[in-house]
Amino acid sequence: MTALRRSTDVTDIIITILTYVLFSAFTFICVYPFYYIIINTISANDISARGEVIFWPKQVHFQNYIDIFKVPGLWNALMISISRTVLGTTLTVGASAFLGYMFTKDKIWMRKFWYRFTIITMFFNAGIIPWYLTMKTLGLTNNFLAYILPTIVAPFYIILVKTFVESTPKELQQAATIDGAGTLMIFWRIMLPICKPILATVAIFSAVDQWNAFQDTLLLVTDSNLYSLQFILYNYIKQASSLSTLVNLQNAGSTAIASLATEQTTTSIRMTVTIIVVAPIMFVYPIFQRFFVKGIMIGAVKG
Amino acid sequence: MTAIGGDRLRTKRRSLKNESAIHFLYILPFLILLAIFAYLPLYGWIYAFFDYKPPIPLSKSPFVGFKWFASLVETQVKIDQLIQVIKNTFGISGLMLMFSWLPMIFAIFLNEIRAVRFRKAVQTLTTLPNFISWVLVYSIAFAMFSSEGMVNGLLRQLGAIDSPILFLQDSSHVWLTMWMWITWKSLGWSAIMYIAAITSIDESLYEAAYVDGATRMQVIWHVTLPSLLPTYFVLLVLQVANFLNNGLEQYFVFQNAFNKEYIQVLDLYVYNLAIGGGSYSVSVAISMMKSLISVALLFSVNQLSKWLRGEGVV
Amino acid sequence: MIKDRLFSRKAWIVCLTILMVAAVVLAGCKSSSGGGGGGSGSSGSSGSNDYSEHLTITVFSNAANYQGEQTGWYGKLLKDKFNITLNILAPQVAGSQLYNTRVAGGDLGDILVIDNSQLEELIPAGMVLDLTDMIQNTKHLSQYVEKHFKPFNSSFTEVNPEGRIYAMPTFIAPTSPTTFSEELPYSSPILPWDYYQGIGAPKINDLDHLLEVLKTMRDQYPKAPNGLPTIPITLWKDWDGGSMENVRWISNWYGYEHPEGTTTIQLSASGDIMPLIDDRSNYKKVLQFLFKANQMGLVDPDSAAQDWNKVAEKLTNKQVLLLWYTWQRGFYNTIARGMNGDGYAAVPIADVHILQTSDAYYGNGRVFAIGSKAKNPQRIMDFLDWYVSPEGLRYTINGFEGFNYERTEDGKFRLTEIGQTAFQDNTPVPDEYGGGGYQDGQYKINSLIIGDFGTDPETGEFYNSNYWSHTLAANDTKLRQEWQQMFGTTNATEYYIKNNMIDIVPNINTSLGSDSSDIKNKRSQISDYVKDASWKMVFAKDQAEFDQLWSKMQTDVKGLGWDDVFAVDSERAQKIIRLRAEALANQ
Repeated sequence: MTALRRSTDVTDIIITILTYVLFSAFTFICVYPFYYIIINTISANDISARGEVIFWPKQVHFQNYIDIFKVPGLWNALMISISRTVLGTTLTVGASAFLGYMFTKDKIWMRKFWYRFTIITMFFNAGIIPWYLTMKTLGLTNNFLAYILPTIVAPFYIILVKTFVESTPKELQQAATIDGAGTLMIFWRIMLPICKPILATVAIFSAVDQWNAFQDTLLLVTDSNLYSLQFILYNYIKQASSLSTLVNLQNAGSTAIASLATEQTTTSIRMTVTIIVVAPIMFVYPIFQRFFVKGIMIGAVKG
Repeated sequence: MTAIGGDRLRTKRRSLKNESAIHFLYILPFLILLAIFAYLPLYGWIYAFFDYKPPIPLSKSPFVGFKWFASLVETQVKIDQLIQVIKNTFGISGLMLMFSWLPMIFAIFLNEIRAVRFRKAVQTLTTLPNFISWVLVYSIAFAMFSSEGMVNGLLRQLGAIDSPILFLQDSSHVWLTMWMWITWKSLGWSAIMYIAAITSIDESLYEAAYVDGATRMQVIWHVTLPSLLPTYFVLLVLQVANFLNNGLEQYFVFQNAFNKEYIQVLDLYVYNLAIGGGSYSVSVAISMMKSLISVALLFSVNQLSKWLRGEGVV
Repeated sequence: MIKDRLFSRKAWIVCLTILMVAAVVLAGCKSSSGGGGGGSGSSGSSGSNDYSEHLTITVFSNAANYQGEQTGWYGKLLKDKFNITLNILAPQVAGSQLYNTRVAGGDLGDILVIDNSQLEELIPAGMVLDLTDMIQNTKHLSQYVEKHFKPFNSSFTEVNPEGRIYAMPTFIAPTSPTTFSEELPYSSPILPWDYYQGIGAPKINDLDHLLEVLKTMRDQYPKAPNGLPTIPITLWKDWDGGSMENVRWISNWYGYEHPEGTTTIQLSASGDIMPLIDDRSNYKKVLQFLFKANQMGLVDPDSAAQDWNKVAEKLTNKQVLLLWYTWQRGFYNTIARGMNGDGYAAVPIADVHILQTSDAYYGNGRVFAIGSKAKNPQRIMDFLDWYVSPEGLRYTINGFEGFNYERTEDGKFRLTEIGQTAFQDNTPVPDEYGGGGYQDGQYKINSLIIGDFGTDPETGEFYNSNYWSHTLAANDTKLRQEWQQMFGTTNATEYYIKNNMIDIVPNINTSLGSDSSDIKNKRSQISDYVKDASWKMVFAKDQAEFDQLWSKMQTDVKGLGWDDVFAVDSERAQKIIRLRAEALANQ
């Protein structure tokens, strides 16, 4: 950091206080609903359904989570989801970085045209039937690659990287060219390291997209070995909500009162699923946060 | 001499052409991927001009031309409905455009926080709402704002009201409410892009400002903000192009008979049409129109940007 | 230094990726051998009992709410018997576009459980197999051809002029087209019995009187057992189709139904076709009833904003007073509570005249069919034959003899201790049967050809265990006894029949044709409008607003194409009336 300090005045202090207050308040309203979900998933389900669990968990139990881990096919789906997230994100980040950089190079043949060609696809929606038929013709139904290939070229991320590259000093690239480096070399040795913050951004966006995706599974994949985690859990929620109706149909003639504390409601399942799906992201996120760090540039230009 | 000079020139021109061709070849595989997954399925737009009902194949379906497009405005009632839907879309998209600078300001002031742990915590925690699906958001909203919910309970305890306020069925301020929910859910997440951009700002610029004795606000105004503007304008142009695409899930979960008039944005209108048993061709027709309008908006705003700022985004 | 660390991180990521890809490739190998390998069995005609090759059958089921392979005890059962694995595709999970896309792609599935209207589309497209010949050779299915399958298939006159057999209807109740076997009509007034006794068990004369009764009940019992407030009437929007669904089913109390496949009319037992927007319609009458209820503060203010899950919670907590669907009782009623006279029971209102469709003699709106691209139709046929056999029905509906139920001395069946709660508790099944929980292992197709009101030839009772004589004996709670004493009959259905307060019309099952795209669009816009207007009317500020909304609706829907849709619906109603008359004549 710099040794020089900027001059402070009264406005400064007011702003500092305001900033802390506002951010704290906003963080609270972001965190509280999440906290609410967590304490409700570990509290007795009937009390939770009555809306009595607001600040503290009551009658703690972990049955909700245990039940979900018993869902058949969960572990396989987890593997699938992790695979597609890792592989898909790596390829997307790579492609976005490469294309984002290449589109800043004027010398490409018809650069502007191809850039527009790429960008406008963000607004296309061909309809579900032609998309399905295209994927089917390409042999991408019941195929793991269907999770990966369509996501590799992502116009939005390309735009982000391109904008970022354009804000870096041109001297860096010029110096390398004079030293005799080719475009690919410059990309690999210079641009990639410099773009770390934006690539981390693209990585986190893309990873979350892959992790949360399941619309693609809905129609393309019928082989249960390829179901992703989100789909299995969505399936579980759907089944549980109709089962709870069935259970009650049966109840009309039974002797038992099932333990309402651990008997699931659709909402309790939804909440538990949310926590299970989000928890891994929260663990991985700080790793990417480390890339939001200044200082890589100083040495580059001066040196 | 001339011959040699001419040779060198020719070689240079040729090598330039080669270079541009080679560079094109580098991006060609990606363009092919795009052509296959994004452009090829567009043949499906043709369904909009037929009366297509699977399983009857397209070849045996009757051709109807622009019938579906016309059907959206064929009676006064329908026109009134469509106008209201467009007003809703404009209302919500308009609000979002008006406040599109929020993530940027959020990032800037977040960056001003000196306490590193606090800053990182805020940054991580404010992204949490992004991960809660809209269906679950509504469950929480219901738990809080229903007639037996937390807010009404609190208000009643304080003696402020006698009978509960039905927040969720309120038809006034619908756009504002929807905008607040979107902001809550996406602010922390969208700010990430700007946070990344801030880290790329050259330190020497800051140093120069301190040397000149700048205050915090002056530094932000003269250093940070200008560096973020390129990113902001790109995102703004994209947001304008996406004007008609509000998304479906949020409005679907919040809609009920009482707020429907103001909450039904175009995407929800199309969904309600299709789910109610509307034909597939109609939904293709509408989505085709939206795509074309979005692209048109994109290039219009881009042109505007060129005139005003001297450079375009695309 | 930093560079070194970054490099090793990169290498680490690359290694991880390679591992992942390897894992996926291995998993992929497994999936392709599992999925693709089963199909090349011998073609239909030869070796019908050769089950040596494992077959994965894709089942496209509109009724299923689970997508994936059938595992658990039922899966093992099918594997042992037929060497098949069922892979269920469920539009309820994957979305309604699953049908469109697969149909456009040419292969919907091997076994299809689809709606009548969908069958009507698929027959001319050649996507379902003609089963006429295969079905003659079956042991059990063939018994139902003459009386059930043939009439059903023949009713599709436009696409099936020769009356070939393409599909088998679902949930057939082979009793008769004029019998109604359930103990309560599908929709009738239901109240908490102990509360009803508590306010003096008044005889309820009409809807207005009902409102007063509800008010008294609420005032006397302001809180449910768990402390939350009592809500006399609660509504929800989840199932609204052509109109407000709750209003639709209360309309049945006064003799008018909304036939499936129509959205603009109400039909009475005598064949009167009444437009929904007519000032004399039952629809308006019930809306008026709910409006009044709301004016008296008896309607749940959260009705418009809540979803069914919330309602289910309220039902479980005994917060709601007025119910109408027979199955809603199951959320609260138990035997233990019944012993204390606590639970929901039917309370007839003097002026009702319920319209009730009979047992599903001809089936229930959906069908089982075999896709034309199915690789081993014969084995599928064998499976479906077993599906309607007594053995198959016992397994599918009731589980295992010895585990869920047992034989008694008088030759009937009785639920075991385990059997009574196996479903709710998801009791673990012994390993020799396949292990896993009972509920988890249940059949996922979620639809039957012969339904649970078929009669088991061995016991002479229904397959539905709720109606076994032993179950009824065990269910003979104080609640039931008090009810029988007060109303003088065994159950509510009998009461209504005895007092001429119910019309049982034949349950006609046929496709009424699908809408042209034009009508489809008009219908969906009209439905949307009617639904919204209905909700607003129930919660209108005063009668003036109610009337104004009603008249505006009458005018506005004309602008949305009401007359065209009404014409289509009337034609369909005429077909229903005609078929009902035929069914009665053929009796």
